Amino acid sequence: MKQYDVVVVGAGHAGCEAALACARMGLKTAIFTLNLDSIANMPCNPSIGGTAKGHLVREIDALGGQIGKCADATLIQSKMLNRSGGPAVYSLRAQIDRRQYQTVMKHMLEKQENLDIRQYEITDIIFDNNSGVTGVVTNTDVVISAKAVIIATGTYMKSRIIIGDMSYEGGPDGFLPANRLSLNLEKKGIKLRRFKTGTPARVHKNSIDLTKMSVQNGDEPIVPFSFETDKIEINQIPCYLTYTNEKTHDIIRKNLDRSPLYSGKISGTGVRYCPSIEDKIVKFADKERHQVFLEPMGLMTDEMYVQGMSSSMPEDVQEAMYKSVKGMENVVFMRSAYAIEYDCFDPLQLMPTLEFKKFPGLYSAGQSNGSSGYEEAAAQGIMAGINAALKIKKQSSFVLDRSEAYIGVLIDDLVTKGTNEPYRMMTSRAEYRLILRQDNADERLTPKGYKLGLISEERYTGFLRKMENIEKEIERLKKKNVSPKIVNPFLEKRNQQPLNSGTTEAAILKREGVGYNDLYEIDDEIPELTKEEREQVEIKIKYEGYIEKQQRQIEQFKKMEKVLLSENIDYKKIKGLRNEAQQKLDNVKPVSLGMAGRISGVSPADIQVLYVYIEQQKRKKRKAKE
Amino acid sequence: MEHTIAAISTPVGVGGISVIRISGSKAFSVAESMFKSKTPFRDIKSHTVTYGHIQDKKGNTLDNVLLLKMKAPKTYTKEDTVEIQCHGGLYVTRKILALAYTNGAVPAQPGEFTKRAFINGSIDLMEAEAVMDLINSQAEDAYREALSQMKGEKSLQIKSIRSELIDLISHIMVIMDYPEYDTEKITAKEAQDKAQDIADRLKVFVEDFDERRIIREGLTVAVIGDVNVGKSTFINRACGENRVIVTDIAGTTRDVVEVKIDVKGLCVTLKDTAGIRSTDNEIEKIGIEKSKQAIEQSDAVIYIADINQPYKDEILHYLRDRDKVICVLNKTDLLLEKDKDKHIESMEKELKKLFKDRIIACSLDKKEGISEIFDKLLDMVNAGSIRSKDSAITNERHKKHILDAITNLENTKEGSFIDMLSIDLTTAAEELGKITGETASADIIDRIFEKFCIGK
Repeated sequence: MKQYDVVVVGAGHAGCEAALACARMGLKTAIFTLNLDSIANMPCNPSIGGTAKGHLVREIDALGGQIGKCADATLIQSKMLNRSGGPAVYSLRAQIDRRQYQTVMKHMLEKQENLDIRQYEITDIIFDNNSGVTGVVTNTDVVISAKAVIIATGTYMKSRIIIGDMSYEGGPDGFLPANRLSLNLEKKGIKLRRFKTGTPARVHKNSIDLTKMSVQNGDEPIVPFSFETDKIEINQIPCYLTYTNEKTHDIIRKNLDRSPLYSGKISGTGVRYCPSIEDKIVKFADKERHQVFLEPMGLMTDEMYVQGMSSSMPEDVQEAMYKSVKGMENVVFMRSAYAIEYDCFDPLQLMPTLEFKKFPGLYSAGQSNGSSGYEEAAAQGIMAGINAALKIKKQSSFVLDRSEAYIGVLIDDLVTKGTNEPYRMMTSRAEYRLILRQDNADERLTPKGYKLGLISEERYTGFLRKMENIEKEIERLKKKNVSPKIVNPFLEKRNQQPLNSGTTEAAILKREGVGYNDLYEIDDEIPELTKEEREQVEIKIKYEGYIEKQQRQIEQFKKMEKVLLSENIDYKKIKGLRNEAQQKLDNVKPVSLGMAGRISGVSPADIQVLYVYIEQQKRKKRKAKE
Repeated sequence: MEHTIAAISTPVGVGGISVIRISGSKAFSVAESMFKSKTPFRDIKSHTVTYGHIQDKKGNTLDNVLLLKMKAPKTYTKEDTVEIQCHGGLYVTRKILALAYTNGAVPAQPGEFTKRAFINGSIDLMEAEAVMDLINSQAEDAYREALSQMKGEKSLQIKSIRSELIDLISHIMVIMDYPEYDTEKITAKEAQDKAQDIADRLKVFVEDFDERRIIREGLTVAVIGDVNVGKSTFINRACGENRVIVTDIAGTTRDVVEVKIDVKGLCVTLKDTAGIRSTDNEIEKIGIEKSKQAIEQSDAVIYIADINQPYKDEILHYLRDRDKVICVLNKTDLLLEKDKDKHIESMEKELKKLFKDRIIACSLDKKEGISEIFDKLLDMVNAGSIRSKDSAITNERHKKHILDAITNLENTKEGSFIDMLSIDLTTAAEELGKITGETASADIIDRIFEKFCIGK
């Protein structure tokens, strides 16, 4: 019998990060997939990043993960979104050569020391009541032993494809579904949910008149995802924008009765975050047109992804409505749009480490936890991998809180509040987003990644140098005085109020419309800094007030996070709690008072009661010792 | 570090004296900034009482007070504590509390003084359970009070203002989260203007709040009884012996007559329901329904009966099992002198099942009973069996949240990017949500998907 420390079930974006993290932390790891050709597949849009998701990618990279590097190696277009929104919401998004991405990631897994890759369907997990997880069973009835198992099955568990009035058992992109695993887990007492998502058609580029659409070019120069990628110089490939029209909407309206969504055929909970075109027409009946983006699937293919027209209508309706769109009059389909229903876990069963509360050694990451998106999956993957590894090494767990990373917000939301629909990361979910910027992900997380053994010495030394340069320069600017004589012509040129007396250069930089690079005009002592370092100096000085304000909010928040709650508390015995709070707390078993406060149905008064309860327990213990 | 907390620690609006308690590391500095006395505050010895007055930031004297300064750890909470005894009635007490908040204290949570006393070790371990029970029951009281208050028009206004704010935030967030969609853009300037507009409307609310509060709050008492049992006499006498705040007796065409009187600092609204006439069955039915309605809507009931007449079974039946009723047996002067004591005794005995010790036999015509009735009413308030619909704590807390919301809305002026504005706006929405019991983050995301067509 094969023996591993960690077995990862599934080799999508969560599985790959999980397996790499475990192997890099020195554990003997295996990753199993239904099909080796589906490793790191992108069955939906051929892009990585975007608002909030781009933050996740940067954070994963800062911790020592892979998604950012693979994206950098295979991107064919890159954009920094939200340039006008302020530094906290700058977001990187790249179009990816999908096939190339899979090749690069698969090769990365193959090259990784301590990691075996094998095409297997896992049908069951073996538990021992005393020691927790002990292994997995394959579809060929092979038993493989493991100290920890990470489930990262994406949308494959008992998945069903729905196109109009027909449906069949099947995974995304024509791959096989995993029909037995979720059934066997349910028998063991794991709670399942049924979720639904969908994807638009892929069409042949040569059948589209791109001249009728507007060209969407990438940004130059390209900002890489990975802090380790120096620069990316490629010929970027454009995307194209067109619109639906009244004719499209008419076709959809006339055929609504044939939509499985509206005829009741689909029972899974749908996504507000990726509405089908039918949903958009029904919900926003007033809107005259909807955007449709055509995105290339790669360099070596003419397949194009039609963003904005995801649908579960029958194929004849799909084709008719696509053909009504300007530039797509003669469109030729290569793959139809479809909806997919699948089993996933209620994430309230998980601890913030992504380990099941009731099944020690069993972890879950990605869409199997009810999330949506490659980046959300990868983020959970690396965290589950790290925690499984730490547990086997008998080291304390690694949890990021809401003030440390978008990753922390994502996992905290999932395990504290649960979700009723595939969960998408959004900027608006991150209350401390001025601190959680994509530009400072390394500052926030690289020291942690280094401690975990996921960041090389060389990278860490470079990181420390960067931090030192930034700090020194900020110090210098705050001390450096400038006289009105020097600075006033500079200010007048920018229509700024001139000065009567001297001030610091930092104060000048704080003014609206003044950037760090402008300072060269009045300062010949500016040290040589990298672009990234200059950017940090500018942001940290310009937004100092706001950053400090958020730091104060974070201090308040941390106070409650630090008050820990034991998993053994019997909430039903705490009389002062209201019934609803007792049940919710018992179900979620929060790790801290802060987390308890975020559970819906737990009131501020309940938190006060818990506070007193903790103190009571502490005193009882003290008394017992005496 | 824990906040310094402040609250009114005497039962709401009862009695001539109110006590404001301030506890925490900043308690002394909060008190020092508002208390003026012969001895400078810092020279006042711990655990002594000092006479002085409370002065607001403009130098106006709010009230003459006694101040008790207590240095930690020999205090209930084991923190520096100041207690201010004032006697200016509800309005002034609240002004002083508001001043304490302006000077750096924050509103105490339900049960927070007790909680601190326990956490800091001045309450025994044995009492922990009681403390835990107390917190939720106090919170529920506060919640109920907030709810009853929130039913009013004002609360709807706060809700709708908050909803506008959520609209604004979700508009900004949809642009942040979906920058490539063709949603209508919003500039920082537009968002700032809108924020200022909302702030201005909230300001009106706060100003309004102070003036109307005294009138809006207090106990509502329904006066129930048949025609000619002495309801009007009671109301006239009540007005005679107490300060009348507002009177609506002129409204003779209306079914219900209302007067507001000040009973030892507590604002009491007396509602005289139309009498229950017995000439016509249909009308009698309506009368009884009206009385029932008045009973439901009131904090307490004064039921007046003519001791010489048989009592109405139906309304009595309805009043059964309610501990908020005072029964007045009027017109004892009409009883024959020789039977008087016996008759009263037998009536009282009969009604004791229903009203326990809350029965007063008197002659309102002879100006008897009025102070007894109101004493009984205040006893019931003190015992907690009836309660004012509003409480100073809830109200002051509301006001504080509104003021904090205004501050955050006005802070948006400093932000140059709309994302930074959205952080202040969200904080403002959270403050208003503390009044309406709503949380911002989920609301914003729901609103985004309700109002905007986005997503791939």
